Amino acid sequence: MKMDVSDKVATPQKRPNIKKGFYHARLAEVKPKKAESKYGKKAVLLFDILDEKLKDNEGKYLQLATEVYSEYKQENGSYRTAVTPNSKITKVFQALGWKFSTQGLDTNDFIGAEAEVLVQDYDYDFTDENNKTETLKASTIDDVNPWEDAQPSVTEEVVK
Amino acid sequence: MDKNILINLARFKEQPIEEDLKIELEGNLNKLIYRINEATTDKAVRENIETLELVENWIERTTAKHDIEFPDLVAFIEGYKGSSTVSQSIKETSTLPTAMLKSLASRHSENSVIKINSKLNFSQIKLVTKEIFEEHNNQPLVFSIPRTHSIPGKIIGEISQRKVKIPVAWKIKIKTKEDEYFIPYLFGERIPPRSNIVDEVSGEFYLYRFLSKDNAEYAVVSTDELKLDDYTLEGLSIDVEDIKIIGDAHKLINKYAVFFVHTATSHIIEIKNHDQLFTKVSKLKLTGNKLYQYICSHKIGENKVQILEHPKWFVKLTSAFLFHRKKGKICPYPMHILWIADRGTGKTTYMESLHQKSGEIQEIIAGSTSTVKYLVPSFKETNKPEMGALAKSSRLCFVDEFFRIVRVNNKDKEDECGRMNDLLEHKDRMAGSGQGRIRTTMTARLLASTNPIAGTNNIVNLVDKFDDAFLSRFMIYYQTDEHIKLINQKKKEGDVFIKDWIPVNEFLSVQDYLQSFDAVYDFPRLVELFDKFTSFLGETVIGMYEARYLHHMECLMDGIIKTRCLSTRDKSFTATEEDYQDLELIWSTMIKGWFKQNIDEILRNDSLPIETREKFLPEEALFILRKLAKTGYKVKPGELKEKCRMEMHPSKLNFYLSLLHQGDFIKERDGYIVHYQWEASE
Repeated sequence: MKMDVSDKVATPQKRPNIKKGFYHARLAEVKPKKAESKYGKKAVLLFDILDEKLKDNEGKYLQLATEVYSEYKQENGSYRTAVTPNSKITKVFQALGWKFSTQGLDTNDFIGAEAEVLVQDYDYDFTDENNKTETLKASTIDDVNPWEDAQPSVTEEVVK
Repeated sequence: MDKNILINLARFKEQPIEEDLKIELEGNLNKLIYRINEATTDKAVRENIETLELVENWIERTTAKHDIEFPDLVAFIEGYKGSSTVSQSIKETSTLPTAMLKSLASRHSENSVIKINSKLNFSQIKLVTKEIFEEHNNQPLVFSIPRTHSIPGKIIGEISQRKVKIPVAWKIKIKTKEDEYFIPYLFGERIPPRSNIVDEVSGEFYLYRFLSKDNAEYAVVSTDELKLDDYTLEGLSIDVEDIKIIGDAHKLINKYAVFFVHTATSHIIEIKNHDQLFTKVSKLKLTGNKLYQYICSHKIGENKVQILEHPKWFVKLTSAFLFHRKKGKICPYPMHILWIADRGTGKTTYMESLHQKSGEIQEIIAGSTSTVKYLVPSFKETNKPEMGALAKSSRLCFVDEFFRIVRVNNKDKEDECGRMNDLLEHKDRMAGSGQGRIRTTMTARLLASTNPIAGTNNIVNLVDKFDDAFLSRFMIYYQTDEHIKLINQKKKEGDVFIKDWIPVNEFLSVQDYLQSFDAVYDFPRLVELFDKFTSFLGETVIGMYEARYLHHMECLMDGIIKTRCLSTRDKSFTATEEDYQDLELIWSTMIKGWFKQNIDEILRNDSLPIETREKFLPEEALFILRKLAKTGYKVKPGELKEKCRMEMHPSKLNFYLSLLHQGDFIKERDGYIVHYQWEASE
């Protein structure tokens, strides 16, 4: 049997891209970001998006990340903690159930905590094996809010 | 109640009034009592009492108006209202469908103990036995265990640790002048004296003591081995006669319930592997934060849980205490905790909050009003041997004011304390006296708290007052000043409430599973840490420390790893660097607490390595030292003061700087304050 052949391949989408909006999520992992950012050190928070439809073939939840500053760099080169009453990292962990206290914050204590996350799109450049670069869309977590149980689910109405 | 009785008792005919008035009053009374019910159900009695109260009012009005009295009627009402039923003997149904009897007779034809899924009462099981006995020529004895009664409660102890043969049915030969015949008797029935027993059937059973939720005690007879745990038992309760001696010469015959178990359902869901554990943890939405909050919380009402704030390391210690596996090569035993602190430092409240989650029926033992005899097995002439509170608890045992139980008396100290030693090591021992014997094993972990009474306010004095072999069985915690300060501060801030609560049995199933396996850690690293602290423990304390504290350290490490792995969903249950750091922090804080009074001496002791002494620095001094390290190990005094300005008052800062000076933790060089590690950092 003779068949036609094409050299075109589908661009492998490396980063997940889902519909923008609010999702029920669960903190899965917290790790320090390897590269230092403009104002200091960041922590990467990985969330499981608790949506059955977005599970992969192995039954694992889709993971999305958000980054927050954990330590700010000071003029003399030393670092000071970013965990202050008004900082973003404080707000994120407060949304995950932390009560601000001077006893310190252990991010491990919040693994498994649930939150409502706002998923947004961002653009990134992807270069394939043939050095071809194109701009793709991917999803990121833009905001983390407390999760309140038993919220009414949103249903989409199809207008014919 | 009959209405006519009331009319008769009013004795209208004998009243000194006009005939017309008599008829009128009788009519009025009749109108009032038309609702009187003859039944004796609770509802009918309640309604009758309401009616009689109306009659009482009528009597009062009539007496005042017409100057007549109804003494018999008043006495009747008083008698009816003033009595209540405490218990009733209702005759049991003693019939069964013939088909059922026939089916049982066709299945069982030998001497046996059988289980029946139906709810049959004692009269009915007698009928079953009789039917089977008469149906077959060999006259088999059958004792049935139905699932008639259901009682929730807890197995509080083993009466016997091995299966025991108990006779449950007998065949009695009755001989008359004309005839000779046989009758079956069952367990619980009184066999006539001098009866001729020709056959009997026995079953092999485990025997336990069971305390129901409504506080009734049962002797439980079970074919299956049960744990000292929460169960709902289904089976048959049979009352047997027992005697209680109530005075020097008086005996009281009473009924003691023996419960034959058909099915025992554990309230604690058993977890079998790590996957099941983490599925449960996800279902409970358990995070480290939630776990610590739960440990520190006290449930006040539905949806109202009060948080009792304690230092994080202390809550981690508690969690490790709850989760660790017993350690020991031959006879494993757990780490017990002895918490010593002055009054008003949160000991009792914390203990009560833990008791709430322990599932223990036994309350917290008040040391101020108890004796050692209450804790250990004891034997009374007039009663069965008592297991003692330590062995009665299944998971956790709480003793408040512990030192008031153990007499602080040099002569007796070894004797009194030593009686608990075997129990605290969870050894399986037989205890006995002339009055009886009992086999006991402690399965619970002991959390004891106490005031530092009779000069036991530091470890040296404590070891001097008590037998060190006894003390070594406890992880001793002298509450640190920082801990007390936090408690006092939180008292002023007011109460904090949350809604989150984990159902106790769910938590216990997690706790039980975590206690069932070992976490993985590097033992030589633990030994290294253990040895670090031996250098400054004096002769008096070192014996106690060397005896069992490495065991405690292993228990603590095991618990720390499990706490972290549980909250971070780490299935490896293997130690990480973070766990070793946590262990060192908890260990050093506890040991630091031992020397509260002479901490200055330790800080200034040049013979000790400076890294070891650093662990004894107060929190504030450590803060200054860390600040100094962060700013490059060398800083001008004014700059350091400015950096610490937000956290510390200048006078406090000066005090701690002088303390750091005295211990050589900082030095002054060319107008700079220099950290002791400065040269190394350069």
